[in-house]
Amino acid sequence: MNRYTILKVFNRVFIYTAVIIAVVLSLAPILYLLITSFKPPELTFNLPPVWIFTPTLKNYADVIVGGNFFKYFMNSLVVALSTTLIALVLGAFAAYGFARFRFRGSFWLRMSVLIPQMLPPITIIVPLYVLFNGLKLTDSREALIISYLTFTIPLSIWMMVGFFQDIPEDLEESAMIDGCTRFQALIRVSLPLVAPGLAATAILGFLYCWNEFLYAVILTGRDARTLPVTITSFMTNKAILWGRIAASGSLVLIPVLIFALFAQRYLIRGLSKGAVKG
Amino acid sequence: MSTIEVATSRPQRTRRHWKHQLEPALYIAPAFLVLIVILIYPLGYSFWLSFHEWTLRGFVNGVPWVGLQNYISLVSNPDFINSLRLTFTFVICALAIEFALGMGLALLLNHNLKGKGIIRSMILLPMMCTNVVIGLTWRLLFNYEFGIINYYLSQLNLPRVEWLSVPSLAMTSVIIVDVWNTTSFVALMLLAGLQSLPDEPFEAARIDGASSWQTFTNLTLPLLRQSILVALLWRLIDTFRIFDVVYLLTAGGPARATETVSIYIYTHGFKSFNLGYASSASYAMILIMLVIAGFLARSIGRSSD
Amino acid sequence: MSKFRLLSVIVVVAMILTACAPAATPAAPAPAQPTTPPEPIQAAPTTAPAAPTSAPAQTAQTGGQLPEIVVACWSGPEHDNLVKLAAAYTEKTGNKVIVEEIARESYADKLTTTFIAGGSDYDVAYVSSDWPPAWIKANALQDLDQFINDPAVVDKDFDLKNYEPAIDSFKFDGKVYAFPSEGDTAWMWYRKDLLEAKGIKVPETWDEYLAAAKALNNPPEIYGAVIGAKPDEALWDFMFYLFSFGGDVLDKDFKPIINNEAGVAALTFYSDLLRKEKVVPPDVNTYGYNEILTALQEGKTALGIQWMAATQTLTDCTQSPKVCKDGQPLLGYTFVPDYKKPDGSVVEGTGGSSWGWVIPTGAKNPMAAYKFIEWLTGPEGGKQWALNGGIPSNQLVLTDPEVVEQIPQFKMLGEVMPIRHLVPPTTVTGEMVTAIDEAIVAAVTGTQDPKAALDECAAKMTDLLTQAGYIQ
Repeated sequence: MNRYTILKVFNRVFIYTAVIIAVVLSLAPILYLLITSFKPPELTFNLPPVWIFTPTLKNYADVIVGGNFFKYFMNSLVVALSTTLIALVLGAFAAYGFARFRFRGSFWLRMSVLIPQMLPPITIIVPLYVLFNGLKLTDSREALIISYLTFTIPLSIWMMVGFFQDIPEDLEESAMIDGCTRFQALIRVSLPLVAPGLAATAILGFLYCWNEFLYAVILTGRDARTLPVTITSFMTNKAILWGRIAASGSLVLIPVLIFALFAQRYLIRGLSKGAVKG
Repeated sequence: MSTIEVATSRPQRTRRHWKHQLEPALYIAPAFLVLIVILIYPLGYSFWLSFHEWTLRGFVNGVPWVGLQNYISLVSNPDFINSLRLTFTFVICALAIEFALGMGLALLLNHNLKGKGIIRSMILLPMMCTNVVIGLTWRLLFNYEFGIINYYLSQLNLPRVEWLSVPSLAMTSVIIVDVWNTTSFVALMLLAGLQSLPDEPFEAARIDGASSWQTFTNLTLPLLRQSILVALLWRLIDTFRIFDVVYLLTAGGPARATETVSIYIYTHGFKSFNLGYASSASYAMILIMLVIAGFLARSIGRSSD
Repeated sequence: MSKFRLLSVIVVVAMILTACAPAATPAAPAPAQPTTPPEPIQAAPTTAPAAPTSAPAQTAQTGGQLPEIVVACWSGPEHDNLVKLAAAYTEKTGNKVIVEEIARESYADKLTTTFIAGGSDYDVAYVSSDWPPAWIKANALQDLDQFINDPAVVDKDFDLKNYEPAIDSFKFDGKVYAFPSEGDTAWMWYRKDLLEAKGIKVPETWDEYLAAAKALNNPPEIYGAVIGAKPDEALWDFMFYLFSFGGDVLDKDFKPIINNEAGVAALTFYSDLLRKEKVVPPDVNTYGYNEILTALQEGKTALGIQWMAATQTLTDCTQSPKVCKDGQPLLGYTFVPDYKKPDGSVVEGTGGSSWGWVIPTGAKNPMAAYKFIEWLTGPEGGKQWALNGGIPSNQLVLTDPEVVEQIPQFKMLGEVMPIRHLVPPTTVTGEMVTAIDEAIVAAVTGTQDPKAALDECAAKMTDLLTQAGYIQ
């Protein structure tokens, strides 16, 4: 073995070790959560921590059965999907406008889109509630969708602008010379090319909505409640029901887990295709 | 151009020019219209409110105009300055660590590893967790008496650490949690950037015998500038606003050691229901963020030219 | 016009219309739709708790349809209790009662937002006595006098005196705004086995408490005592020390006296437990009700002051196995210690909380709401509430022999009522509590010494009270 091979092997070992450490650190708290969810609640605080025990499904049963867990799950899903879809469409078109056209004030307009993103929700939550109260939309999915659009649209715009900028204009131009309008060129030529970018944006937008808490807790009640709010209802005023929090937390994680398995491919491919450009 | 030519071409130019102005508007307008319609009342009202005194108890007496009084009280309020200082500390430390680790992680993942799909999805998990769950889980982990971190420390004969109950340490603990949560996002953005870099410069560098460090500093970093800046911009805005996780971990305590601006606004907005003051704090915060973001955005614009 | 332009215009207009139009079909059926009149009271209730037999049917209908009411309550035993009672009430009267559970963390925020916006989401809400004043100032609550003084509505056996003294914390400007429900206080909890093993008698004064704590203090296995100085919750623990040292928050003229001798003595004692004597776990400034409960449950502390509401959990061997032996609980409880002044005289006092049911201004069915809470806190509903584990504030219930037999705690509760102090309800109570919390945390973390912290707090309180018009 020459020096070069030894170095290469060492390099590989180092890389794999580092990756394993990264994975372990990333997963450890999540695994802790999962394990706690299968523990009988009395064992939560046991030290030394009990790793070998008879797993119980009681926590999950308490969470799912007899409550409206499925309804809240659907609420979260519908709100997140609807918001993502609307934001994607609106945001992609707006991003195209920014990417293709140079006009006065385009920089400032793009910056202004960041303002809703920068808003601490507290600022507008009371007026938002008043607004929805007036529209008789309190405790509704619509209220959440409308509120979530305020940060998913900016996200879409900012992410998609870079992707559109990377598609060379000639492709659209040749399509337009062939008789398409710009809009048709966009739909037929550019959109398929930025599809990975759309996927990446959709995934990030979905995540934001799925995990959002503050708007959900103030604007919804028993009808439109979403999952993050449900988790906090296990922090009762008499005890923190850690078993149920762990169980519901794990359940909220499952769709996200599935997402992650598919998403990572699209996310990385999507982001690298267009590169992460402003 | 002779005057005659100008005269004949003007009508066409005007129409095309007008169409040219209108076109981008048609693409951009829908998104903006939706945003404006949704936000005009809440934003307008809260902005208006920041110039008035609005407290729950004074509600029925009306909402008197106080001009810039709220903003002036803000600047002279040591608690607000404290929360600003804490927020900046938090943002700078967290982002520095996240980008260093994220860069390292991105470089690692850039290699052709076995099972890289699974590995990447697992590393992405922390960023996908609900904030509520993250806050509560880490609160359990950091628990002085019953948390397993302290337990294992004591097993190794190291002293137990008061993660969340000592003012000096509390901010560190919060930073740790945020780093855990979002490093993968940064790694993701940087990895994407790395994967789109062309191969030739790196080949050339290798042939020239450059060391990995030299390659990294002189080649990789400059080429990744765009990706880094965009990731930085996005993370900056999110980190500045952080609320859920900090609130669940420490509620701004102990003794205000982790009271970031968002928590400060929340305390004044909801606990005291002093909405005028809370609104002014929000807009002050937005102003600061806009300035910083503006600088970053300009840099992004410039480097793409 | 080119096709493209037409299309774009249509898209834009459609967007605006979608954004502006209210929801055509709500995702869920709208709440509070009037229900069709049910049949007269059914024969045998199936699994609902035993409906009272002798109660005359006091339905709230004005003839015809019976309205639905929505009750807001935070997560926890009160909510579970409420669900059972709501079912019983629906059985009895046909009025549908929907209970909405709201997470504890955001409970006050959500209620405040809803109330001041005049929202009609709720007809009744479960609130702490220090919240209403600000809401009343903002015209967000309805007074109950309109129903009490109306012979057509009020129950014929109704007597407001049964709610004394608890009702005083819900009277503002001479009007009643809530019916009191949970009237809580705290006990001193102690490990019978550990005290016996060392031959220490159950402490009756704070000096004895400290001595016992020091004797039993054996970190890190077990600490002598526990306190809870978490921001947001500190006062709810400290109040027992403050009041039993003879201190108080405000005097009769609404002037802050929290920084008087007694107050400073109390806070010094409280913070010294951590700083000087080190008989409490080192992370107590992250402790609230839940953490104190955990510490007691897990056997991490030998003594502690904890709310009465924890009694069921702490004395139940299936829930607290670590502090049980042979099926018997090892934890005992008794009155909070007294303070023996340097001159030998003994001061008594204790704290507490008072919770009640209010009707917001925006309630859709205030009269039905009124009848519900009248029943809920009355002799019938209150009795069931107590038997299910609640702590009613109605004298008739507290002296009911069946109730007293089942729940001996109530006798003790009756004894402390005269010396129980509450956080004074004013329109600035929320902010005052925050200021006091900060002072407590500063003292406990050592950032300020108790006297300085309390003086600063008193100054803030004076400002607030002056602004709110309580002090001229």
